Amino acid sequence: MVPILTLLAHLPIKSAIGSSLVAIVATASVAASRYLRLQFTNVKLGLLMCCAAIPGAIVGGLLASISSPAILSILFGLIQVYVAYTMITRGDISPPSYELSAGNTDGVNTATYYDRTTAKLVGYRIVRIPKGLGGSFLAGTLSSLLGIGGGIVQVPVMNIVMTVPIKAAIGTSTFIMALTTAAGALIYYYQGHIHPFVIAPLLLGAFPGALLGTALTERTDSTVLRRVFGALLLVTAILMFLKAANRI
Amino acid sequence: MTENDKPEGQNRVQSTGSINYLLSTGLLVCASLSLTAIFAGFALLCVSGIKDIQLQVRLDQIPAAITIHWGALALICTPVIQVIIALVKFSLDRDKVFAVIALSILVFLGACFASATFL
Repeated sequence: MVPILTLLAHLPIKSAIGSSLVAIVATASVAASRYLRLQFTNVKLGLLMCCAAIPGAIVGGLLASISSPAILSILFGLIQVYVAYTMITRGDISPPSYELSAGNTDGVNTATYYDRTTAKLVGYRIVRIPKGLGGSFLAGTLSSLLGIGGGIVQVPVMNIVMTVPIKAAIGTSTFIMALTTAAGALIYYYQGHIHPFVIAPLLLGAFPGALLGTALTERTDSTVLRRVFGALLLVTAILMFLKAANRI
Repeated sequence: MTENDKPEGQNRVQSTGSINYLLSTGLLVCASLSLTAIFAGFALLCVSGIKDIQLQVRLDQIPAAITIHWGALALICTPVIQVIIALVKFSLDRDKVFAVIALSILVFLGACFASATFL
């Protein structure tokens, strides 16, 4: 969104970033509301991951002045190619079995949601929480260092490392993204970089998009969703390589 | 479809997801109100804004801009409200660990905002 606003609408870069952050907050809030209702979002996991992502974002902000964005973009692009390959080829990652019974309640490392596509209750157990928190810290660092959305890192970390099903990973990542983006947007708002006449038309387009996205996630099979997400990671990796090539 | 007609799993999820329901409702209400303000401001701009912009220089003197600005501020604060709701819910449930985690996120967010505005 930022390149479109700067190149086509001739907005100053800070206004473009601020306006796009507000659009992300709007879409993430609308989507998070729906995912929460569908029980895709694991609130406790989301809060835990936020605890690691926010300090990561602060570290990223501090590292921004001393690191080379081109080298980081290439490294990040390579990691994304590997993650995309894993997500596309592995199909569904089976989470450790979790017995669903009347006594089981959703906790820190166990949770359930109802999958409409299979008409089944999906129970999952979250494993490798410390590694996942490390991944969330890295997601926060990379998102503030490279200006990318945290979801592109958070979803694979939760899905591959912590064996959270893809729909729950997407729902929880939206919850995290709404919070971390709001922090950035608030700063841009306070500094006067959010132009009212830019965000209104932006939101007019983003709002129906968010509704459509959540409806598609709800109705799409998990394996298909993983492959689509993998393809999206490949596109982002290519964009990272192009970004790096421009900077070298 | 009545409650009894729903699949067993769906009912079970609903019974265990009170915090999800609370947060979802909180988000939906706040997002709807703020988006309504933004779209109302935009409609106001489309109807009379262009004339206003020609007559007045400052954005804070244009009613459409003021409406959109307040809507945007409410929208930005919407995700923070979900942490406040979670904090209250965990405190009421005496879940001390997650109450502290929710509180620490609020402190982190406050610190980020304070450092960006005052430093």
